[in-house]
Amino acid sequence: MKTESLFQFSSLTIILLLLAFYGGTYLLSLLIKKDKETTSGFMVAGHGVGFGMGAASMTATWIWAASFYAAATSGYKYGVSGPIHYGFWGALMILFIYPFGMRFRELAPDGHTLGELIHARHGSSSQLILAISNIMGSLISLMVNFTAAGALVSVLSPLSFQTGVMIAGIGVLSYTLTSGFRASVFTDFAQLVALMAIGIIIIPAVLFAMGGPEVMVSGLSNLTLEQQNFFSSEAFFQQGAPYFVAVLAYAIGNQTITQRLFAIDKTKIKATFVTATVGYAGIVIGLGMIGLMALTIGIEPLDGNMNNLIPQMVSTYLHPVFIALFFILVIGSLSSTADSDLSALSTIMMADVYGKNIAKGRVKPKTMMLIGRGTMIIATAAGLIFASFKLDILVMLVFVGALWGAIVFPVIASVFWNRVTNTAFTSAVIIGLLLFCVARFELLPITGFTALFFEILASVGAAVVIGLMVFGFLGRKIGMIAAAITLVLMLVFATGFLRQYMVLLASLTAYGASTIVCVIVSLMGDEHFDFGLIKQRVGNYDKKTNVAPTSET
Amino acid sequence: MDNVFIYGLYVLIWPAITLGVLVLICTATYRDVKKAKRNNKDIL
Repeated sequence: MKTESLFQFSSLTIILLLLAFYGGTYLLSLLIKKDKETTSGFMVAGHGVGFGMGAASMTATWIWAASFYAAATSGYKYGVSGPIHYGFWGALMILFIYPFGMRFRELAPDGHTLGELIHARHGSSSQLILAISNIMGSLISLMVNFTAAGALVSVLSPLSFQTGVMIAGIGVLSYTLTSGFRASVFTDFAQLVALMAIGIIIIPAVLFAMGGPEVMVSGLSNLTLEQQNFFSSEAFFQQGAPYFVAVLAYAIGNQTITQRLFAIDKTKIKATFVTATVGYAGIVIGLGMIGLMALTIGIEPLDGNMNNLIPQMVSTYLHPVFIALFFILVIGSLSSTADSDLSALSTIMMADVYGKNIAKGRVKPKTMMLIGRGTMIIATAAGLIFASFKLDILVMLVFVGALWGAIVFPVIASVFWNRVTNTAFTSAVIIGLLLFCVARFELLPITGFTALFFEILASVGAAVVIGLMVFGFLGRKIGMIAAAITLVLMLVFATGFLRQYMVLLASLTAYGASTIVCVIVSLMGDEHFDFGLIKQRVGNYDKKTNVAPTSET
Repeated sequence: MDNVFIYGLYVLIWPAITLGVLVLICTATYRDVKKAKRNNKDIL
């Protein structure tokens, strides 16, 4: 079965939909506008975001435009287990981050970025690694989200790709510029309510419009045996495991997440992140099911483009009103992530670059606010330019993912283990990244002894991933036992096998290599850091100046 | 249980979960707004 084209709206309809969405969001942001914005309000909403808005904002930020497309693609490619192998692992990482977030808040109650905490712990070089990775990551995310807006507008109307990109960029900037993070959280709430409500309607509507579960079951014969298997190893190794490892790095390294950890009322962090985990799983796996439905009834993606699957299914089976709702759903998801990226970028420039490296304890709140708003304007312009040129960002994306993968262990070890040094942190990240590049881009032939070497590093990486997750919830002793068991199992079963899955091998190498280097170099030094110093060194810029770290190397 | 029921449940459980979370988030936010008003504070 093949759908020849998607439903087309007139240019006027799409412009009115976009005006209604961005105009409404802008008006909402006016409700919380203050005559005099504080730096703390602009960066972390005064550290007091409540449970409801916090959970909504966390969920909305974690869902970007690609979430729906990728979940549906996973359902279409891998069958029954496909949507789970996208949505479940993504959701699990929201849960995974909160125990570490509570530790960040305990160490730096007045913090705004993870970079500030690392600056207080180690000094500038480690902090700048985090800042640079975040600037790259957020710019890529902005560009991807603006690109998604342009693509959707051009697919569903006669308007050009560039028109969609421009409207989305200007729309997001307009409501974020004045109140920064406060506006991002407030509008995230409204955007999430809209996109959840639309998801709740669209998923059953498509299922019953195509004939209900009976038609889906009768179409299961169209699937391969592997696609019919809920415990498909192909789906796990090709989709689930690489995504799980990548998204773990994203959860730890990305400022949009850390910013919410610093912003939410600290007594509500656990409830907020548990709710966001369930909410994300519900909506993303649910929309991924539309890909599975398409597979069972033999739909072929229009022009071979998997991103057309959901609009194609909605277009084929539902009234145009539902297509308009789907349009709002995607615009809402990409805008909520884009405004979080703008807030993250402005906070990094305000706190990490200006606060810690330029003003160095002589912060002027007015200048800081100017830098924050200026950053938002420049970042939007950069995102628009990159998106308009449709740059191939795959290599950049892989590079940032690897950088975040190499950062995970050094960051977590730095906030729990007093022996980690700045040199250990920096060298661990650099070596982890270099070895990742060797494996990922196959700079050496990954065969024989070389392949075995990388499989051993990757086995350590897998042990680190499992060990850290268990450690976060159950403590150090059980975490170490889980890591040891994982390491033994990986050495037994993954050596000679993992080389078939280079993406997974390379990602785990970044974790494993950075961990080994971080531990060895730390043990070679004699640092015994006093964690109480972090609280003194990370302060509120509206009230007082901060104490500079003494451990710079 | 037959396959039709299982697959129907497998697809429809996700929007049902989403609905539950949506109700929870809206209720919690409503309570936060009321509490902020009572204490004469801003919600954000």
